[in-house]
Amino acid sequence: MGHITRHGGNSADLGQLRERISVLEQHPAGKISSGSAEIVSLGLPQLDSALPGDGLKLAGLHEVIPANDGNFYDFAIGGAATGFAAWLLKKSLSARPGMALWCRRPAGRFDPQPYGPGLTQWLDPTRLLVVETREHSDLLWAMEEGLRCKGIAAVLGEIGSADLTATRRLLLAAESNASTAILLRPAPTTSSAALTRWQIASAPARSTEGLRDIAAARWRVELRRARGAVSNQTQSNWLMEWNDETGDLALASSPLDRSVGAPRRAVARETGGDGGFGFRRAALSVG
Amino acid sequence: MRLADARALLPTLLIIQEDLAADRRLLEKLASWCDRYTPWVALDNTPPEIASQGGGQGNGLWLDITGCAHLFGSGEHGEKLLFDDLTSRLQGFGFSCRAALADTPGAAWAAAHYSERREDRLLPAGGQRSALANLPVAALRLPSEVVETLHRLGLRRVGDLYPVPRAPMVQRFGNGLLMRLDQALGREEETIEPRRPAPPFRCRMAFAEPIGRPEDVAAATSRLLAALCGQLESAGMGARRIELSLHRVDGSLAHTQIGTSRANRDPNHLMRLFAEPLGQLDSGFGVELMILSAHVAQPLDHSQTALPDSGPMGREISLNAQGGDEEEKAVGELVDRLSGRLGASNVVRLMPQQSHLPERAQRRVVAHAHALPTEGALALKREWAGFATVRAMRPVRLLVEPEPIDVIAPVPDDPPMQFRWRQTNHRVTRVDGPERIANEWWRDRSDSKAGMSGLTSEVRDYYRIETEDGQRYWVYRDGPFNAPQPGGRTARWYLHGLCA
Repeated sequence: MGHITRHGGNSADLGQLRERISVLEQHPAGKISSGSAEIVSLGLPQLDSALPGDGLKLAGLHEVIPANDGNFYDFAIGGAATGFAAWLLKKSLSARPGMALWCRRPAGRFDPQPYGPGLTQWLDPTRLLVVETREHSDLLWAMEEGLRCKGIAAVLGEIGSADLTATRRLLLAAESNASTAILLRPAPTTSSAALTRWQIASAPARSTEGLRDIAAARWRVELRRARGAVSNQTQSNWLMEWNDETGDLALASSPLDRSVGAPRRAVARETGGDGGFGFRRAALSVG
Repeated sequence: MRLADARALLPTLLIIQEDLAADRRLLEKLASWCDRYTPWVALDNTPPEIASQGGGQGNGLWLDITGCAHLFGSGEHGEKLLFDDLTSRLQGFGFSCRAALADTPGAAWAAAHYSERREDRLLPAGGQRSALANLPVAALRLPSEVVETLHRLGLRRVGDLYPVPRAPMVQRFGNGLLMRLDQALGREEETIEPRRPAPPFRCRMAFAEPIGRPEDVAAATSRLLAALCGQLESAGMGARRIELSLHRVDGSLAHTQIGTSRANRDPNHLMRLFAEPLGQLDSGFGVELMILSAHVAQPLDHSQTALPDSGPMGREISLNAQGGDEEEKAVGELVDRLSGRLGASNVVRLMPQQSHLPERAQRRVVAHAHALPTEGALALKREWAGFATVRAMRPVRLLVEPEPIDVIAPVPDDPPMQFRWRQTNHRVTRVDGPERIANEWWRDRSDSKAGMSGLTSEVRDYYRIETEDGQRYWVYRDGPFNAPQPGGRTARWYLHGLCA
């Protein structure tokens, strides 16, 4: 990391050092980018503030996972996770010119394909290229090729599994070209190099009073990981609602969980064994 | 002589059935092989009854070697070397052949069929008049009745026709005779219709020693590509389809081709596209000649200069300077690479289509064939915007084929209370609908997608339903419950999409 300049040695303030370290942690590939230009706001202050740099880092890898920890077969067809991934895709497309690549493996006779008329809510289908592969390795290859292509702003990959090596490759490809990689995948069992991980569950929709219609689709969105985020985060769990008038997502009027404790637990769980272990040790001492 | 007579004479006679189709195939193959001399190869289209007068069978090939002989040597010497090379190679394959070379196709045909001595068949430039003078009139590719009439008039040699006044000849024989004579003598133009359209851009490389190693073939390909791209550049064109032919030492051929989504003449990019197919090419006993031809080319104005790889800064500058063009090119090249490896049908764009039927409202077009022009994008955007009114009702994923589900409904015509899909029961809590979508009466039902062939109903009632856990689905019943269905069956439920 050649950009660390030695100046003033012992006079370096501890706070300054911390700041610098936090900057480094946000750029694992060792590249310091121009900063705010590569961050796109999600349009919702509550979500932005939970992310490092107050927005979604464009040159990075982001994961969207469905809440039901079922198999990939169930996941692949989840509408809510698809919708959220498409929404992230839209946000990254709004910040950069270029096309989006949607890479997937078709699932046979009843394959749930991305459907343009429904997707127009989230993104402009004219900027979308759909790539279908038979092999898992081809899928990763196609994603990487897309991420390294100058004319591609974002790549969405529906992927069954991707280990640390694969995700790191994708992250590097994304960073080399300042393009966004979004993985739509089941909850990973191995570690991953993703910068953020969003877990999406569909929530009961808002109805018109007295009816049982579907007025506005709702999702429960949980930010399970945000690399480089300040740890004393206030909230990482939101109930979101589709607003057809603005054509965007909004926070639902009644948040799911206002308590301070719950989201902290979520963050702790995600940051690794440390938080969970501390919790358990406390329990032991009581026993 | 009939077969029975022949057998009577020689009982041990070996009989082989004539196989015209196989002959034809062999001739086609030979014609492909002749591509090594010229791209302008045609099968002899002279009717067999005319050709057979001279004992031939009409199994001939035309080669237009204009501008090709210099590859073998300069001037007439080069032509002779080409001629010798062609005949000796064909004989080497075990064919007996008679070849002739002349200024005009007519004279060459006449010499090939009627000149007995080999040196007589190699006509010097402008020598067709004297060379043909001694050949029978049938050498002019004339119908047998014309030949007979000429014989009765005492005109037996082509030379006999030279002094005959033209006007009476036209009166007596029509235009046909004079046309053939003029064509043979070069007074009238006769073009050889090439078997395949001659590629506008073409490069060839012959090897002194046959090559066989894949890396050698790849290196030669890349050099050929550089030469081809030079040709394209000077013509202001870019290639859409490029074919590589390997001529093996045993006379067989191997072909492969690549396509690009937009006109391109960047040798590095094209070489990357060739990387995959080259690996599958078999060079057999060795390759002695490689021909690279651009079969489809389109105008490509701006000169493509590879930007020096100067990191993110250079990229930004190039984007600002050249706008979206550079990006569009990059996407085109990406599509080429993806299509080359995954198959063109697996890299698609989604296109809107004016239809109420959900499965017809979106069309998948091959991105490779359908490069999107900028103005087209605007029109498309407007078309997609047409879905604004229904988009909230539409799913984000549509099943390729609607999947049958088992449904429990309180009243047959009601939306479902509970349904079973993929071995899981789902309890329905909310319902939106129905939205009735009728079949398009102007469309023949049989032409709907193959997967939809089971759906013969006129109408479908779509519901957006939500289950206990908040998942939203798009389901439909193919027709009202009580309405008579084709085949006397009852209405069924299908799951067609997944809503966000």
